[in-house]
Amino acid sequence: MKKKMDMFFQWKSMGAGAYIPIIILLLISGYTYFNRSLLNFMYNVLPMIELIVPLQGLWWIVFIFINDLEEEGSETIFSYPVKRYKLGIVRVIKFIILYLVLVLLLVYSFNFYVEIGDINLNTLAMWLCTWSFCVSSMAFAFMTITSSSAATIAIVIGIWCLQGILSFKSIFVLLLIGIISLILGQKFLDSYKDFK
Amino acid sequence: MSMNNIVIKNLNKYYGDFKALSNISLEIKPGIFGLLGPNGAGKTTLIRILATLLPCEYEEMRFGELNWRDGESIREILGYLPQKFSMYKNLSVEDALEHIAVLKGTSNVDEEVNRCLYRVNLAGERKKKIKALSGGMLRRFGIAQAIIGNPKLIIVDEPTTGLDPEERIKFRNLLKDLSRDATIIISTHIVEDIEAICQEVAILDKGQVLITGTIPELKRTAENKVWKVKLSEDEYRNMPSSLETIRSTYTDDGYEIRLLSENTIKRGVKDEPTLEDCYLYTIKTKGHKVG
Repeated sequence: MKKKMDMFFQWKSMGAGAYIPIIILLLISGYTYFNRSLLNFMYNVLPMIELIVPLQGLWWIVFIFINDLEEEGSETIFSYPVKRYKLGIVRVIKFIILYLVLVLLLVYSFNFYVEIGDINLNTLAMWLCTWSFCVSSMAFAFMTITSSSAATIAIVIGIWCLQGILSFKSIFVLLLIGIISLILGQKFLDSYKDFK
Repeated sequence: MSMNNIVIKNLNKYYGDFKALSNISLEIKPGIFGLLGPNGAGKTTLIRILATLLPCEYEEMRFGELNWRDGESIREILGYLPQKFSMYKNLSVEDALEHIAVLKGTSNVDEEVNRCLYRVNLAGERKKKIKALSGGMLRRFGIAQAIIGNPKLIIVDEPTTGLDPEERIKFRNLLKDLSRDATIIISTHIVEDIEAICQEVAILDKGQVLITGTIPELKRTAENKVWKVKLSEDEYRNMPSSLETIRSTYTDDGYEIRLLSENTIKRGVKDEPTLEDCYLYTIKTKGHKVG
């Protein structure tokens, strides 16, 4: 019987690095649990999660492509009879979904232990998910363009800081940037031949 | 022309304005075919084209019924090992091979992984992480991933570079063994590897095929051009630098020099050419013309 490319393998191939986003989300959750007042949530937790949670979205995307684009002999994977969209956009979307599920779990868990007052968790979840999607998709695009995890992380953090300065707030535009990045990433992966 | 031959006609590869490969035409029969050439000759480019990783221009490129225009069909029967290979460092040998078997669409993944592990003598290391493998084991792991799914065409780039003499011999024997079921193309600048296992060879330099044929055919091109001369230490030190020395060996009576020369060498004795002699002679005589 033929087996399918599984996410668990991708997870294992990342090594200890695979746990970083989970550990960070758990640390945020722990910090919030022990500082559960409304004031603390509004002035400390919210700015922190707005800064950290979307950025963490790039982590898995960068890691799954390190083996395929950065390691010596990574060209081998392109000699296998696998369609490039399965190596690219399909894997990326799976990991984005997994990350968004974790983000939703974090946000809605606040209901159980934080005084949230008038804060609308649905709006918070929507923003965090949109930003995370946008950041992850950009990571895919820059990883295939630069074939370098360091360059990708630096560029995406740079863009992220810039949007923070500009206080950019349009869900539609963020979604559009995310979708364009996914398409661009796949286009670059399709024609990728910068083998190490 | 056998239906199992690989036929390449007028292959050209450009990087911008630079012509990396020029009018390559080859017919590769089942067995082990060697691509021999100095660094920068275009071997890796040709290997990557054959592995469907790089596009190029050509009149014809096929393996039996399969055509390189349909890259997917070539990848179905291909096993490829690049010059440097160290993917999935965090995984065990077994896990990585399982994943590769899945990527290759192999049925009976566990059975196939076992078969390949035993074939390359890595069954005892199946639980070891790839980052913990020695250079020789890593090359064998590379071959294991290449032979998963029983490919009909195996392409290996510089397979023995960096291996110690014992590992090198083991690796050659492994390739010889694999050639019973598949056509193998190896690229190398190590003449000894080619002489030990290949039936046919093409010598490349500056993006062109200088000569191609069986090893005895190639050796014949350097016939009557290889000389052995015995020299005293003084004569050796004052030897004109224009002489094309292939090898010099220190003996009890001084030095024994092996030379390449179209003309008769004084006190010289003609010697049987080796593949290395032919390689150096071809690069010297034909390599200059293509440069």
